[in-house]
Amino acid sequence: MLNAIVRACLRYPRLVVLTAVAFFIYGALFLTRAPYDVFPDFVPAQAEVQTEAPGLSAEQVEQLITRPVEQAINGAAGVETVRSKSQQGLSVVTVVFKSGIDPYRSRQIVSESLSEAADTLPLSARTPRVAPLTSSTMDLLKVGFTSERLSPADLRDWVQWRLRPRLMSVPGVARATVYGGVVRRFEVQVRPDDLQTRGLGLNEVVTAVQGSTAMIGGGFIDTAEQRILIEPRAQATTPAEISEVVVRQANGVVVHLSDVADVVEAAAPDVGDAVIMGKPGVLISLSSQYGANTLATTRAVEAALAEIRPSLGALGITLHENLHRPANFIETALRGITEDLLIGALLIAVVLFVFMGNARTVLISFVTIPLSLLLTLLVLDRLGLSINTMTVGGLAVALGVVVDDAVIDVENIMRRLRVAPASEARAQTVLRAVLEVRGPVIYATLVIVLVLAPVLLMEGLQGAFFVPLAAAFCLATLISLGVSMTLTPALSYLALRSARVPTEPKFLERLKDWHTRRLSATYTAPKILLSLCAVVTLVAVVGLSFFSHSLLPAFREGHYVLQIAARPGTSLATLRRYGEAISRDLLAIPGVASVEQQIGRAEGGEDTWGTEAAEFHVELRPHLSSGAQDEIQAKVHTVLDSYPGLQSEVLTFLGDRIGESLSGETAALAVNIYGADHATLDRVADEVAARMEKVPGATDVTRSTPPQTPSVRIDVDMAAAAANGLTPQEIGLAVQTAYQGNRAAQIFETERAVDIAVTLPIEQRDSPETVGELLLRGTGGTLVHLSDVARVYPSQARTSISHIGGRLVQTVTANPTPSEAARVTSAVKTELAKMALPKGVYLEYQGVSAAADAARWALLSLCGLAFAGIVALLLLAFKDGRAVALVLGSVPVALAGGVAAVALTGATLSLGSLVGFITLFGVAARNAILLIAHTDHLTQTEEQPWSTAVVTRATREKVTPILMTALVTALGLLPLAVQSGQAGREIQGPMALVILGGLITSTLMSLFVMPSLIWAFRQKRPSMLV
Amino acid sequence: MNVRLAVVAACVFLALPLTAGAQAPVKLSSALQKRLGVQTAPLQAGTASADLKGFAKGLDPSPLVALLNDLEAAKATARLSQTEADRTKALQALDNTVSRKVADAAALQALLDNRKVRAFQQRLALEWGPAFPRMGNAGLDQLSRDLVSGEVALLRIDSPSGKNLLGLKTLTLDLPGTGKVLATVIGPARTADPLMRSGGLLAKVSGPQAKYLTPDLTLPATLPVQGGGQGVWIPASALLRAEGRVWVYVTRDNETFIRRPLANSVYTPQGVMVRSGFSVGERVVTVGSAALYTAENPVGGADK
Repeated sequence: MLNAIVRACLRYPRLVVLTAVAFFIYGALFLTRAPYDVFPDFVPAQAEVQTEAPGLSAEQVEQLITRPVEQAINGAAGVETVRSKSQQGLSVVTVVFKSGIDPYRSRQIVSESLSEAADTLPLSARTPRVAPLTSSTMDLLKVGFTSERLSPADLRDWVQWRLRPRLMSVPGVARATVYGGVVRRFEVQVRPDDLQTRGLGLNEVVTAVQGSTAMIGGGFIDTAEQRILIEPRAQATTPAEISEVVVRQANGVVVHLSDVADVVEAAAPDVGDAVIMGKPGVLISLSSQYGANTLATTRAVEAALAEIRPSLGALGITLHENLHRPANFIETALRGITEDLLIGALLIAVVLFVFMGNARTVLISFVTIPLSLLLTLLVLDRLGLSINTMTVGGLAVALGVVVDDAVIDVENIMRRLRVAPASEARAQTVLRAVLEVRGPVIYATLVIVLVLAPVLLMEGLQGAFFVPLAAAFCLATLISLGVSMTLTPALSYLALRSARVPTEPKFLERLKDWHTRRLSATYTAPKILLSLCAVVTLVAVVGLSFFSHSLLPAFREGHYVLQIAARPGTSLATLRRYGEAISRDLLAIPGVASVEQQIGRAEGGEDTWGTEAAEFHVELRPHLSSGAQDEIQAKVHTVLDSYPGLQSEVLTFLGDRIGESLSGETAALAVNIYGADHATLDRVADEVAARMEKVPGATDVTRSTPPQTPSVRIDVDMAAAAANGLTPQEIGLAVQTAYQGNRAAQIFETERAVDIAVTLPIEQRDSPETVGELLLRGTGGTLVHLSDVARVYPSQARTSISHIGGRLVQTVTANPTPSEAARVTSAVKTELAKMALPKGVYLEYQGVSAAADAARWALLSLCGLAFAGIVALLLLAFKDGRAVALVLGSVPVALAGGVAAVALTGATLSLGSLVGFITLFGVAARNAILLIAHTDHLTQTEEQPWSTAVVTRATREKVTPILMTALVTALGLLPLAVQSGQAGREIQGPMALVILGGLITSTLMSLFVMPSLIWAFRQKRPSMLV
Repeated sequence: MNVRLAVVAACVFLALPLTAGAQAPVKLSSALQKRLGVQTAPLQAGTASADLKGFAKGLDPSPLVALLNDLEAAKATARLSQTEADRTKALQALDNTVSRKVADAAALQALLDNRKVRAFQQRLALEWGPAFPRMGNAGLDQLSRDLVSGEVALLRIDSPSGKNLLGLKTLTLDLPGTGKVLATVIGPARTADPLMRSGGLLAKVSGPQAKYLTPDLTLPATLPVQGGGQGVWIPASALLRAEGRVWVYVTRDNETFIRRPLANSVYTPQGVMVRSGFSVGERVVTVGSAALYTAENPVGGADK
C-alpha cells in the first residue's frame, strides 16, 4: 500500500503539488479568520444559580433558599459537585457537571430542577437565575467611566440603560455587569405618625402604590373595516403623580399618599461600587459567551465603543478603556510565538542550506513543514479546537518531528541520487529512497503517538489544557507523515529529475570522517559506555527527585488581580476610601497603566462578595519583561501590606480562574473542614489556620468563610406579639419595609425600569440603636414599638455559609508560590495530622497542588499502559527483543539532558516540562529506531556482513539526518526557550528548554553510544572486530 | 509571703473592672491616616433631650362643658338650698315662725343639692380625671368659658404602650400648617386607648391655634424624655458596632487609637449622649473607625 501511494504520487507529481498549493492557499486564508483564544476551554461544564433575597440574613438564606435549591439539583443527572454560598441577601449555588457533559444540556437539567424548587422559596426571594454561560476565561473587557459633570445616578443610568444594551447586542457577549454609581429608585417614605393618625397601615400604602403604577391593556374594537386598539395610559410615572394616589376614601374623607408619605427619588440600597483610576466611577464588566472568539468579540465590542465615543465629550464622560483586556495576552502570546516561529524558520532555512547545499532541496523541506502545520490547524478547527497557546505549543513541540520527516526523506533521496547508477530512472531512485526510510519512520511516528497517548487521555483541568496540545502534536506528526509520503517524493522528483545532484558539502564530509574515527574507539568499550549511561541515568533520576512541582507556571499576563477584604460589616464608603488610596499608590508604581476597583457585588454578577471585599484589576504597560513584571508584583505586595489588617491576595487573572475552576477557591491550596455544626467548624478552622500559618511558604493563610458581621438581632416575643395583635410575619415585613424597602412596583420609562419602594424616611432608619423604636401597626390597628414585642439587641451574624455537596463546610486557604505548592501542601498535611479533630470532623485537601499530584499520577499510570503498547509495537517492527531493549535503553540518557536543563533553569517541574520529556522520549526513540533499522537494512536487504564497519556505515549515513534534525529542532525551539517565562511562552518555554537539553544528550547518545551498543547487543553472534 | 500574694491578688482583682473594656491600642501613621481619610473631633458637653413620639387627639369639649354647666347649676342650687335651710333653721330656732318640718325639709333639700354637687364633682373626676376638680371653681369656670370660646382646646395624649407619659408636664404638637404648638398636661385620662395600650393624658392647648384643634383631629406629638441629662455628645459617625457592642475610637496621641466601649448612653436624633466613660475635649475618630478596627483585628485571624 505504501509502495502504491508513493508510486502514484511520483506518477502524478504535478497533481500532488497542485493539491498541496490549494491546501496552502486555503490554510493561509483560514488563518485570517481562525478562532484565537488564550487557552482551550478549561472550566468543566457548570452552572451557577443566583437567587437574590433582599433583607434575608446568611442563615435565613441558607435555610430558606440554598437548601431547597441544593436538594432540587443534587440528584440531577450528570451532577458531580454542588457548591453553595449563602450570604446576606444572596444565595449562590454552583453546579459542576461530570466531565464531558454538554454545557447546554447541563443548564437545561439545572433549569428543570429549579422549576421544582422555585415554588418552595419564600415570597421575599426573587426568581432563581441561572447565570449566563460564559467562556472559561470569562472576562472579555472591563471599561470604566468617570464624569466631573454628571451625578453618580446619571452616570450609572447612562451606562446601565444606554451603553449596556448596545454592548450586550455584540455577538459573543454573554454578560455585562455594571458596578458603581447610584441606582435610582423612587422611595415612598412613609411617615409612621401620619399613617397612625389616619388609622392606616403599610399594606394600604403598598396596595395604593401598586394600583397607581399598574399597566393594563384595553383590548381593541373591531369595526367592519378596521381593528382599533384601546390604549389606556394610567400609570403614574413621577413622584408628584404617585403622591396624588388615593390611599383611602371613606365617609367623604380622602387620604392621598402625600398625606402619609413623601415620594422622592433616592438611591437604592447599594451592594457594590467602583473606583476607576482612583476616582468614583462606573465600571462595566463584559464576559464572553461559551465558545466565543475572544479576539473577534473584543474587537467588536471596541468597535461598538468607538461608535459611542464621539458623544462622550458632550456628555462630560471620560472613558477608561482596557482596564482589563484578556485579548492583550492573546495578541502578545500569539505575536510572541509567531515571532519565535519565524525566527526559528529562518534558522531552519540556514541549517538546511548549510547541510544540503542546494536551494531546491531546501525549498522542498521548507514547503512541506508549513504545509504540515497548516493542515494540522485545519483539522484542529474541524475538531472544534481553537488556536490557542496550547495548540500552538503542540505545533512548536511537533516541529522536531515534522522537520525530521522532511529532512530524512530529502536527505535520503539526495544520498540515493548521488550513488544511483546513471541508467536508473530518477523516479525509481526517489521511490526506493522513500520506501527505504518509510517503514522505520512509520514505526517511529507511531511510537511517538503512543508516547503522547497518555496525555490525550488526561481528564479534568489538566486534560483540558494538555489534550489540545497533545492532539496538535499527534495530528501534526501524522499529517507530516502523510506529507512526507506524498508531497515530498513528488516535489523531490519534480525538483531533481533533471537537475544536477549536488555533492555533499565538504565540511560534512570532514565531520563524518572525524566522527568515524571517534566512533571506532567506542566499539571496544561498550560496557564502559553502558555503565556511563547508567550513571548518567541514575544522576538524572536522583536529580528529578529534588525538583519542585507546579501544575502550571506563573503567567505573565501583564495584568494582576488584587483581592482585599476588611472586617465583615465594613461599609462600601470605607472600601471606597481604601480603593482610592490603594489606587493612587498603585498608579505611582512605574509600569502600571491603569487601576480599577470593584467593591462588593452587582446583581447577577460573577463575583458575589459582601461590602467588605473588593477586587482591583491592575493593567501593566505593554511589552514589559518578566523581570519587570516580577518587580511590579513585589511593589504591589508592598502597597497592600502597608494597609494594616487587610486580607489581600495578588493573583494573575488566569491563575485566579484556574484556581476557581479547580476548587471554587482562588488559592493554590484549600483545606475543607466537614462534619460538624457551625461552632465546631469555626473552632477547628481557627486551629487549622493557626497551624497552617506556622508552615514556611504557606502565605496568605485565610479562612474563606469570613468572621462574623455586626448585626441587630430581633427575637420576637410570640406572646407579646399575639397580645398586641401582631403576627411574626407582620413584624418581619414591617422591619423589612423600614430598613430594606418593600419593592412595591416598577415604573417603565422609555428604556428603563425604575423600582418604587415603600420605606421609612432616612432619618428614621439610620441608627442600629433605635431599631427597637420602630412603630408596628397590627391588623387590628394596634400600635406598638418593636421593642414592645421583641428583644432587640446588638449581636453578630454569620457573614456567609458554605456547603459542598450539601455538607456544611469551613475552608482555610493558603497561597504558596506555584513552585512551592507541592512542598507546602505536604508540610500542611503533616502539620494538620497532629491535630486532634472533634468527633465526626474530617479534612479534605483541594487546589492546584492536589490537582497536580492527581494529574501526575494519572499521567504515570497512563504512561505505563503506553509503555506496554510501545514495547508491543517495537516487537512487531523488529521481531526481536534486543532491538526493543536498545531503543528503550537509549531513552533515559536523552532524558538526562532534559533533567539538566530543568536543573539549570529553576529546578521546577511543571506539567509543561513533563510533556517536554514525553516528546523527548519520542525523538530519542525515533533516532534509535532509524539507526537500528538502517543497520538491519544494510545487513538484511543489502546483505552486508555483520561487522563494526556496517554499524559505522549505517551511523555515518545517519549523521546528516540526525544532526540536521537535532539542529533544526533546536534552532526552531531556541527562540521559545530563550523567551521562556515571557508572555505567551510560559508553558512552551519550559518544554522547549527540556527538549533543547534532551536533544544534546540524545544526539550524543545516537552518534557516539548507540553504535557501540548496537554492535555489542544487536546480534547474538560473537563480535567480530575489525 | 502569703500576705504579699494576697495584696497582689487584691490589686489585680480591683484593677480588673478598670481594664475590662480596654483594648490594645492601634497605631496608624499620620500618612496612612491621611490616605484613608481618618478624621477626629473633640467631644463636647451637652444636654440630652431625647424625645418620644406620641399622638394627640382633639376631644369634643361639649360633654365637659355640659358637665361643668350642670355642676355650676347644681352648685347654685345647692347654695340657694343651703341658704334656705340656714334661714328656716334660724327662724325656727328664733321664733318658731317656721315649723320644724319646713326647716327639716329645707335642710334635707340643701343636703340633696350638695350631694348633687358632689355627684357632679365626682363625675367630673371620674370622667375627666382628678385634675379637673382640683382646678377649683374659678379654674373650671374659666376653662369652660375658654372651651366654649375656642381659646382652649382639649386633647387626649397617648403613646404606644403608654411610654413616657408619666410625669409629663408639657409636650409639643405638630399642627399641620401652623407648626409646633405647646400643650400643657392637665392630668391622666380616666380611660385607656386599647389599640395603643396607653393610659393616656388629658392636655390643653391655649391660644389662637386652639381653634384648629377640632374634635377627632389626631396629631403627632413629641413627648420629651426625662433623664437625658448632662453629658458628652458623641457624633453618630464615631460609633462602631462590633462584637455585640458599640465602641468609639479615642486618640491617645496623633498616631495611636484606643477602642472604648459605650455605656450609660442616650440615643437621640442629634447623636449619642454619654454620661460616663468619656470626657469633654477628648478626640474621637469620626471617619475611619472601620479601617482602624480592621487594623486592630487583621482579617484571616481567629474570629471574635
